[in-house]
Amino acid sequence: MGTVIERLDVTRAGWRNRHSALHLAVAAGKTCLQRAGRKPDDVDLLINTGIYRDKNLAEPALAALIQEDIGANPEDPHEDAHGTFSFDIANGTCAILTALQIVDGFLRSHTINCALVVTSDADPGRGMSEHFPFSPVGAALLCDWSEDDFGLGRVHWVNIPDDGENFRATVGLEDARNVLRFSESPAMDDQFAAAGAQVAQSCLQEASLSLSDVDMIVASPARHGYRAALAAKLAIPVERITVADDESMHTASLVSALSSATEKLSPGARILLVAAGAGVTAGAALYRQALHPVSPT
Amino acid sequence: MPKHWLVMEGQGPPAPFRARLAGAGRHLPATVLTTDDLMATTRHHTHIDLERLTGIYERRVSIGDEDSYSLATSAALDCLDKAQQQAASLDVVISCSITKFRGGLTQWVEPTMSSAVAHAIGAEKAVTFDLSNACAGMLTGVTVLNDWIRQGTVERGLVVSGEYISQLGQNAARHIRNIMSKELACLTLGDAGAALLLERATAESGGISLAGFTTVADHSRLCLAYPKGHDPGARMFTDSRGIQRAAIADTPLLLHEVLEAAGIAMHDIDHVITHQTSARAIRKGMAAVSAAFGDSPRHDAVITVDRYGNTASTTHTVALVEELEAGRIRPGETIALIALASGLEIGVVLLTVDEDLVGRYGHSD
Repeated sequence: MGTVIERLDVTRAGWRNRHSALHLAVAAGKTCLQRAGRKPDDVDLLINTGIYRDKNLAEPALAALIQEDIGANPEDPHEDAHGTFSFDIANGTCAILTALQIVDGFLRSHTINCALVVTSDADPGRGMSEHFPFSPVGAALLCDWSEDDFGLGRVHWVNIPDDGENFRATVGLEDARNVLRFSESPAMDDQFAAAGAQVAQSCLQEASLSLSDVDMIVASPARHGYRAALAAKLAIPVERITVADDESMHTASLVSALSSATEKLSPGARILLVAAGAGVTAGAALYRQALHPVSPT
Repeated sequence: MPKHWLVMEGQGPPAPFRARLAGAGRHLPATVLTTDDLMATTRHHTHIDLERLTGIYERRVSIGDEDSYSLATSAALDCLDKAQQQAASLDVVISCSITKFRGGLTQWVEPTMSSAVAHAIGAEKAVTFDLSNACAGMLTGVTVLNDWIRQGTVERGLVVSGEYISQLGQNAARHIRNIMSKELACLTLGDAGAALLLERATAESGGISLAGFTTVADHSRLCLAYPKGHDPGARMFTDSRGIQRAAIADTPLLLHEVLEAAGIAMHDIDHVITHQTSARAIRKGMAAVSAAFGDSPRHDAVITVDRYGNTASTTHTVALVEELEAGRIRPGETIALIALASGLEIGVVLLTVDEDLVGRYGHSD
């Protein structure tokens, strides 16, 4: 029994939507639902995990705007029908794992039957950011519940507090303008990898498994330095770790990597998901690929 | 099986556990800003009687000495102190604020506020993440944590928020010209930190009996807040009448669902704590609900907005602590926490407090 990913999609920005996280998330969500043969109204829960968005919007949750634009039960409540509940999660490149953990709880308790997790990041542009480092990408995951022995295992976490020393993003007033700025340390990849390796080992240990029992390791972020450092700390060849093909992807990077991985694996394959990000926070979980196809883009 | 519009936790198969409220804490800045003093700072002659319009006569504000991070941290420590619980025992810390100001008016986007607060209070083993759902943030966090506790995923967690949001009022004071301004709601804002500690209890004990939420997304653009122009922090643009119209139209059906699912009537609810936007709006909304049901909760809706203003995602907890400290909530009584927030988010958390919790505030049955 577990939460299974019914479908996942990644949407890359074109010239028109490269500055709109909202449009990217909506495009990814709509594509995901359409290709899964689901109606927007089927979605009970919509979680957005993207961070960098249009106008650096603080309120409402971007998820509410995404819900309206996707058309998931946006109308006023009425009898004998069900609505959709939306909110945002922020946990950097680990947020997809957090969202999956939340979805898993609500599916397990039969509170919902179907969840859509969307994420996107885009440079808000128009002088609102400085040296924006991430690619404009949107991604979506459609989740439901399987009574079979597939899906998501327990999600493990570790925090190694660094007070934002390794990676930090802030919006602050400078020269009378509110600007999004970034800072990172040269040690960032190593620190993220150390946390990622630690949590991966505890995840495997609890399941009484070793790395040789895992068919594929899917990791986020997609940075080459992080991937190499993670492989070194886990003492495995770097090729065993699948990451997104664009190392500048941010919150969508785990979905993109998972999309590449599931192309190559058969049902029942065991995947180790490892995500690390600012904080330093890292999470890991085992995922057993479901029988029905998970179609990548 | 009848369908519910609300996404409702508590309607599935019996869960092994229940979540009880083990502590509620808050932190209010010491500085009081009266409505008269705030309105005296408006750049234009607005001819607005804000106190008459909203019932708010003062709010607490940070004068730069506190920010979202410090407010949240102080509230978290107050909550743990009330519950006589160690931070090291927390399995999860969820930060739910709209504002994430740290070091003045610098909004921290990454890393998370939750990881900073967890580290500050010594919750080293806690899972951390931030949840954002406008003024419904804390109750959304409670809904997520309640689900995890009921399923046995975690044993104890803290839902926390620090809102240093009064800067939006100062920004609005520079732009508002008259009562039709979309920034009028900013003048109601006050600062506060709040925290709720939930922990595992047996399935038969009191605690959270039901949590239900929905997002009426057709109204998602009725209130938008973002950094704009040369003003520090952010500015907020609200169609307050549109929100109130939608809320009054949509809430009765959703409350019917909650009461039906919980198997109780309106008069079985002892206390109602709604989101605190304005005293007038709360009274008008509750009158509409009572008229729709032909029945009322046992006590009038709690109002703290007159003293503290609208403290965004923290209002329910600020009001809950006020009532607990005043001894107005007794063991075994049922409280309906009603969220109404930009999105449009509408949610209800039904909660019964036990003798242990009430006793922490110096009162007993």
